[in-house]
Amino acid sequence: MGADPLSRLPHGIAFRFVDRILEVIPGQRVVALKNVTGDDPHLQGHFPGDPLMPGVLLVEAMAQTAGLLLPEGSFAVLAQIKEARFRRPVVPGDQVRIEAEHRTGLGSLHRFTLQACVDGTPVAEAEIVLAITTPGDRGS
Amino acid sequence: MREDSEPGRAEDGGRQAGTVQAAGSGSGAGGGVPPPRGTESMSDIVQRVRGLLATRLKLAGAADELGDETPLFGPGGLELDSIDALELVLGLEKEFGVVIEDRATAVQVLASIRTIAEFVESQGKG
Repeated sequence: MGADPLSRLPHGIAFRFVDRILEVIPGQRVVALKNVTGDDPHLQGHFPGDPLMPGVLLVEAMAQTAGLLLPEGSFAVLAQIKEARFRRPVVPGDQVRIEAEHRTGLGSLHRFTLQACVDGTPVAEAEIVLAITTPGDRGS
Repeated sequence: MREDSEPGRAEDGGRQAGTVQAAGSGSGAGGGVPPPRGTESMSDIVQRVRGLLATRLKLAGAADELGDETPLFGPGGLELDSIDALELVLGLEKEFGVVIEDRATAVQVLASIRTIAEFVESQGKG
C-alpha cells in the first residue's frame, strides 16, 4: 500500500470521515471503516449529552468511501443522493463499516451503491452519484 | 419541432393501449388493424421505453404525452440533465440488457424515445 491510501481523498483531515480502508478492488468495490468517538466535535453539539452521528455525516462518510474508487487525483463532488435510509442510530463506540460498489459511469458522473453496517447490522444505505470536477470550479 | 399531429396526444382520455400502438406505428393508421410484425415489436419497445422514462425519471403522466421524436435533452424538449442520463443508462441496462459505455454513445442514443427504441432493437434486445 505505501503512503496513506486515504490521502487520495481531497478532503482535509478536519472533514475526513473515513479512518481506514479494509479491502479494495480498484474502480469496483471498497470497504472502509469509520470509528465514531465522543471526541468528534460535531457530536458535542449533536446532541449535548446525547451524542448521535448525524445522518448527513454518515452520507458524507459513504460519499468519501465511494470517492476512493475514483481514479487517483480525482476531485469529485456530490451530484445526487438517492434512496438514503438511516436504519439505526450510530453512537460513540460504534465502528461503521462502509461498503461502496461502483455501479456505472457516464462522462464525469459515477454512481455507487453504499451500505453502512455496525457489528454486521445495516445502519444506513444510499445510492450516490459523484461528479468529477476541477477544484475551484463552482460553475453549474 | 414537436409531433403534435401524433394521434396519441389527443386529450380525450383515450391514452391507453390504443395510444401506444398509434405512437409506435408513426402515421397512426387507426385502431383495430394489427400492424406488421416488425412494427409491432418496435411499438412494444417504444412502450417499454416510455414506461422506463415514467418510472425511472418519475415523469409519470408526462411520459405518456411525450412524442417519440421529442428531444429528451436540451431546449425544446424535456430538458433532462446528465444525472437523468445516468439514470436512463442504468434503467436501459436493467430493462433491456443493453449497455451504453460512453458519453458520446449516450448523447446519440438518448436523443429521443425513438432513438432509444432503435438502439435497443439494433442490439437485438427488444
